[in-house]
Amino acid sequence: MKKSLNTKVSAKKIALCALFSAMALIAFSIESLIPPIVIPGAKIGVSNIFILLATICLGYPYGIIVLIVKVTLGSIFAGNISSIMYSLPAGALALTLEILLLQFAKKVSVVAVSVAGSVINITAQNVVFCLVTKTSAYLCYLPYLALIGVVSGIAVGFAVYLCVKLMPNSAFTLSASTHNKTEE
Amino acid sequence: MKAEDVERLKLKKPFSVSDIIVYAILTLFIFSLFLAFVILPKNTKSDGFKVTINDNQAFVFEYETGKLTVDGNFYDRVFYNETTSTITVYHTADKTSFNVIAFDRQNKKVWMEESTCSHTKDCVYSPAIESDAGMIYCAPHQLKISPISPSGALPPVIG
Repeated sequence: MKKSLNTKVSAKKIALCALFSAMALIAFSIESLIPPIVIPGAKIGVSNIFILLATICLGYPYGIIVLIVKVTLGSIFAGNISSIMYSLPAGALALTLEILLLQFAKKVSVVAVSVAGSVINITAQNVVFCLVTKTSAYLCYLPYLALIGVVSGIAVGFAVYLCVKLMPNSAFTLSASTHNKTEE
Repeated sequence: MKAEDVERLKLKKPFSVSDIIVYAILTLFIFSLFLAFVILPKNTKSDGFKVTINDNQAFVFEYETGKLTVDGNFYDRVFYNETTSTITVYHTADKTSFNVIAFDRQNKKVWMEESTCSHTKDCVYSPAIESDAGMIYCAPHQLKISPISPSGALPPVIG
């Protein structure tokens, strides 16, 4: 009985994770069709909504899975595989920061977590890009990219905030409810 | 996530007092970036630009003289159109993959006019290079446009 309940829940979690991954991928693909804002690489990052949501609702490992799926498949679909080289490390760094803030700075709001993650993501992406292309010239766009990161972080943060408010509690407490059930 | 954690999360407001610390650190970080890359460096107009493909120099163009120096390995792939002020670089023999580089000799600036790299075409949307700082990079084609500084020295390379 115990085993079947656990399997049921993990299937549910996997389904939700797949849903978030698909939504992130769709958002990423649609956004890649829109020209960048002023500077190349500058985007709102709508797909980050689903990464942060997966991290909050399902747990940190699921956020990482959504990130990997989004970056790898998104880059292939967008026809720019080389972007994996700088999108993946930057995304991982931003997600690590967001996880640390969610874990250890519990009083900090979701919007602030998103802004911090977004700024670090766009900054790291630029730095990794400079290292990969072996040129420091692109660093002159860094301050403007960081500013765009603040704007996109606020937009993403508010979207996540609203989603968290509107989503049913069952979406968050999958593991907790099962744990109680198995104990019973 | 525990039920009480969910409730706490749902009751949270979009702004809390603790956020001030996060925003203060970010403000300081962004200000230091502006200081390091925008306020302190003094940029001057470039003398021309050079294009490298896969880290190999393809050609150099000088604004003053209008002189285009093409490397021997790229001689059959680089085409200069004087009337439109564009230089086309072909990456394949069937000429389906290319980059079109446009420049303005009077204002000493260069930009990417067209590219077949990907549908996002980040390089085409890159700002024009108007000083001895900045760069345009087409990642799928590994094509790099960088300015030639008046002193003749190229911007420092990291990595």
